[in-house]
Amino acid sequence: MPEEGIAPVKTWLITGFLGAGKTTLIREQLKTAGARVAVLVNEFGELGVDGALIRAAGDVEVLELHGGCICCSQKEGLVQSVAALARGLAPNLLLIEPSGIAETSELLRLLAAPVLDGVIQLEGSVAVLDAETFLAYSEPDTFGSFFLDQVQNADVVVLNKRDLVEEGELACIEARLAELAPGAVVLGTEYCRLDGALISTGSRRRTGAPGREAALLGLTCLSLPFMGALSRPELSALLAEIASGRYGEVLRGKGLVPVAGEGLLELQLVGSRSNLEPFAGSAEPRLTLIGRNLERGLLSARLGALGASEKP
Amino acid sequence: MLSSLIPKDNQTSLERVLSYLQGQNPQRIACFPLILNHAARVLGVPVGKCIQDAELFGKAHVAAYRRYGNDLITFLSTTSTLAEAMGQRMNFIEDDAPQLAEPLVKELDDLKKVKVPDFTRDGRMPVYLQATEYAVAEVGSEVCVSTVLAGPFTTAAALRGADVFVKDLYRNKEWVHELLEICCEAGLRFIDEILKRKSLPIIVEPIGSASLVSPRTFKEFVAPYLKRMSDHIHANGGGLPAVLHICGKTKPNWGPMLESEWDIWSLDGVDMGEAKEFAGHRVCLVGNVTPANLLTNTPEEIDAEAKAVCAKGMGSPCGFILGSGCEVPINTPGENLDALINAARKYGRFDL
Repeated sequence: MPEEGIAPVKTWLITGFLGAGKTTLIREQLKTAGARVAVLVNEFGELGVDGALIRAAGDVEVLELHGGCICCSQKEGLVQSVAALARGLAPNLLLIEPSGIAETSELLRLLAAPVLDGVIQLEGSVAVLDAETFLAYSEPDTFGSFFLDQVQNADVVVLNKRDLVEEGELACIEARLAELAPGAVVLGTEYCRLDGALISTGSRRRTGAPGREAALLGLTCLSLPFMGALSRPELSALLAEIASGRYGEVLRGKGLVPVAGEGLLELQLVGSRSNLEPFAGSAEPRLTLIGRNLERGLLSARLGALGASEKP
Repeated sequence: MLSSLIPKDNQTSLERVLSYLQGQNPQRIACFPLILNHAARVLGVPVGKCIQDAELFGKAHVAAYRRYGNDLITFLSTTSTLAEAMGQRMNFIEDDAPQLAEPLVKELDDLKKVKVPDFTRDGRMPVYLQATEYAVAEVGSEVCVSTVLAGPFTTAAALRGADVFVKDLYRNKEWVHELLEICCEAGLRFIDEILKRKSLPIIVEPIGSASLVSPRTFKEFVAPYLKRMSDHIHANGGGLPAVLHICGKTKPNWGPMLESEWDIWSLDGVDMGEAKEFAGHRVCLVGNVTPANLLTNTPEEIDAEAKAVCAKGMGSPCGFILGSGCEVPINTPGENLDALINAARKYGRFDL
């Protein structure tokens, strides 16, 4: 039940397989995340390690959630722990680091439990991937469904250790990610270091505020659905405006754009460069931008005029 | 529902279960809620105390049977019990199931630390086996008593840490087989101890869930060892069935599961109708009311879910048993378990 007068706790899921760097990402983010951060660590057998590492990063509450049976049916303990933590500690920000072999879709289902309504505000899920192993691990029969599930359900992909792969491999990785998680923002990192804070304790997402904001300090991530098809000239004009910096510094963008007469086009934006390819699958038409000092109102109005409007 | 409207049983639990083994229809289907740590609640003792004391452990499960009339007693507190006896440290919690401490096998070279247990003294083997003896002596003439152990794959993951073990499957294949060999040997010896006590060994292999391993991996690392266990039960069990439980998602791995020749599958997050179609001609199916629902839903909702499961499972050629998909949550209200078992009485009849 929503609790009167208490804003829901901003919550992020930080997923990733063993060795990808999710604990490192959390530690990096904690350096700039501000006060009153809580981290819920759910591991099987190695809790102490991650918990200790995160605690060492600073003034942060770390709670370790012990799993019962590892199967997905017994995860009600997660919901209870999240509810107790959000109410008891009332942090400004809650980061949940599940087991490296957890399925994000299952966790998202659990975190949507009615008992957490008004208690937490799930901002999104970040999948941390190891660029060196990603192509091999993302083959369908390498692991069970957990690995691809983490990628497919990510709002933000942190492609870590990108310095350890050649350009050719990086292109293959980006193509594979575009196929698996077409709406996700992909951020390449070394040692999980980003130019700005991906996650912060800044002012809470306002009730009724549209879009998904990945951050309130440094980088901002907006994800907007398209409500109708754009003409080619409209799309070209929009891309030119984005590249000119009219809406702020857009570092990265992705999307599935409905274009009249052409169907869905997959958009890739890196800096001022853009690329459009036909998209064969079915997915929600959506534009996702990440950057700094984005002119939110201006961009929102422009997209609204083009037939895109932010999701309520 | 008024208790007077629930059909009365005219068979004991044991007679009911034996009907399946004899290829006959019982009066009504059996019901196997996987009552594990919840048994401590019935006896009114903390879980942590119950599962470390043979007398309490045995009495708790007998008390649960007498309270609910479940058709199978299942001695298990955690899937890491065999690993614990092999040297894995556990953290015991006052009123919950124990949890894995730091993995025993931190480095590949730690394989030498792993040993087949001495069943008279290692870990909680004596607790399990003495509790089994108690239950068999106390109620073995009226209900089937089972003692549950993790399969080699799950035991290996407990010793190594599940994340690391899943990675080992990709990077250290030969080493994984060495570890699995030891875990399999330990499991076979545990099965012998269980059979000596006239209990039914049941194998659980949750780490073999399709969420964690692909069909190719299952075929390479899970199925061969499961086959050795089912063969061992068939060869030494005096006609007892080989029973396999895998919780979570299993559908992608049904093919190799079938090849490992089990007689009974206990399933969790799957469509029972699809399972019946795929494997019903080869295996008896058990399942699969959602465990979390047993904790949170009302008896009426449990009844409705169980009815839907029965509608899918009934008529399966090798038999169908109503059950919970996985462990009955510790704090499950008793009336929800009553609703589940009454659903077997209402929707699983052969005598009407």
